[in-house]
Amino acid sequence: MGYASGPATPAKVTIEVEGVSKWYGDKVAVSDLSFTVGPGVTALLGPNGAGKSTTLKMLTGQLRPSQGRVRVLGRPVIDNPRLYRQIGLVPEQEELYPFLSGRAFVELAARLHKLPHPREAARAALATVDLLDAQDRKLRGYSKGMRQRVKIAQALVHEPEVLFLDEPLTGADPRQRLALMEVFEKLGAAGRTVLISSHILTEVERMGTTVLVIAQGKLAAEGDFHQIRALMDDHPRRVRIHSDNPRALAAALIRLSGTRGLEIDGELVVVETTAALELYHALPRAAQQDRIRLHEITGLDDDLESVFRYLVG
Amino acid sequence: MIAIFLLGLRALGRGRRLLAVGVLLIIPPLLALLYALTTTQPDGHRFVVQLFNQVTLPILLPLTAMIFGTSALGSEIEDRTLIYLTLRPVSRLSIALAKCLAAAVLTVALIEGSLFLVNLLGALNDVSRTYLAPNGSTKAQGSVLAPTLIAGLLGGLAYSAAFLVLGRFAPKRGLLIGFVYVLGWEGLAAGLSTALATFSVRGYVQGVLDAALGDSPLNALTASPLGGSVSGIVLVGITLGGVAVAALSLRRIELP
Repeated sequence: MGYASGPATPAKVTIEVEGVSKWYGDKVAVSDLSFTVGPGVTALLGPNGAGKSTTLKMLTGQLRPSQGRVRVLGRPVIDNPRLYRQIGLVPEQEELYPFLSGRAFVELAARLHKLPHPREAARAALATVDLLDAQDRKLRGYSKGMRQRVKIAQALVHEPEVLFLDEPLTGADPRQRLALMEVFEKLGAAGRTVLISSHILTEVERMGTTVLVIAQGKLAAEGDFHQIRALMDDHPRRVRIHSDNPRALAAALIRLSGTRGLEIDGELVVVETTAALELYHALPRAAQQDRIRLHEITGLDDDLESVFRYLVG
Repeated sequence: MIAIFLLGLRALGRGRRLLAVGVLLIIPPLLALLYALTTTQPDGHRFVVQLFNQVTLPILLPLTAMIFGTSALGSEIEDRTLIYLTLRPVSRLSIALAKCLAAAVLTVALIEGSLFLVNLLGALNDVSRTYLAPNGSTKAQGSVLAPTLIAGLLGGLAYSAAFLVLGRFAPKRGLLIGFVYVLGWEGLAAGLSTALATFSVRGYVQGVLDAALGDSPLNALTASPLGGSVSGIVLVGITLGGVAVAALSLRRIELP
């Protein structure tokens, strides 16, 4: 079943998953996963409920596999606190310590990692995610996007060798998304291993050259993103944009080469495109040029459900 | 470990939790004040020991420790923030110890504060008394501040560790289970017989108090058959054992 571009064993393996399964009673969450990951950015793709979070939790030692073996940097990950000095995790859950400021939260991580200069390290990590202005505010007052960024800062503060990110761009606005994607790309280019789980295809389109596709708890596809992407290019996707000037926005969108159709409904514009990435890159520029305020961008076909139906039959 | 301890203090020592404990622990000083205002034959030290044995030890001390102890790890599990401690290069023992210390420091500080006020009011309402010691000498019946503080300290540590474990295994229902245990077992059953007292923390705290009171006639009020040394060892054992169990269980914990 499914598409695979062939098991791409990286030259240097940092994450090894061998025959891993996880079940809860009769319910199988992940079934017989085997793959390896090396330095660079790798995307773990799959629709909601596919088993991505369970996989990430087993990779970071939060869950014990029911069967199989997980090794990170050549060592077992379960109950191995020393290894955690080289691992960073951005968890899926939003819960933080509401009574701490952003700075105190990241400093706490730095202190627990026994960094020699925790304040300076926290400041650098907060600067990376553009949160210095809000660093002294309590976390209870942070927006969803800010929470996401402070979670990324605590995962970066000790400059980990391997970084796991579970849906890291949730809640971030388009500008922040681009900035964070650049951060992940740089880390990957610098030889770190960055494994990003996402159910939004366009989110990882730019970052992930290697992808692992999980569907129904199984590895459905593995390999180079562009090969998978090529299979999908014939299938136009729809994106809904809520703005304060839909007509000006539509005029800007019609100039894009990938645009195949446009619908305006009140303040909403639904664009059909064969080049979603181009669209997402062009939107902030168009908004700035034509002074359009963007309220919300929703990829109507980006949840991967349709992609998976296509990929795995 | 210090960072986790300070985090624990900040998490536990705020808001409604602290207010609830404060309201509970103001009760003994208020009763001592009432006693001072109404008694015609002041015997403040005796009243302090009675108050400790009948109110602070069976109810308030375990309730205070329960409120802080069950939340120390329980809230981290329930709020899903434990990952920010366990996915660090920190031993599980350090996490458990730091959390237990945070709960115990708050419990002991507040209990001792309440006991100090009660002792102060008791001392102000006491007339000097003497008693005949077993060796035939005459002794003054002195303050009971030190014995009650020692008993409060060891009891606070043991209860905090026990409730830390409860919070680890029952993060959602820890408070409810703890409440039933405190009122049913420590408050009621352990006071019914010596045999039952040996299976309660309360019995051993009474043993420590008894020993700390020495040959004062006031130790007849505690009437604990458990020796002071054994009681002290058991309480320290419960504390260390609780921390060890919590640490071991953190090694096995899964965070779905």
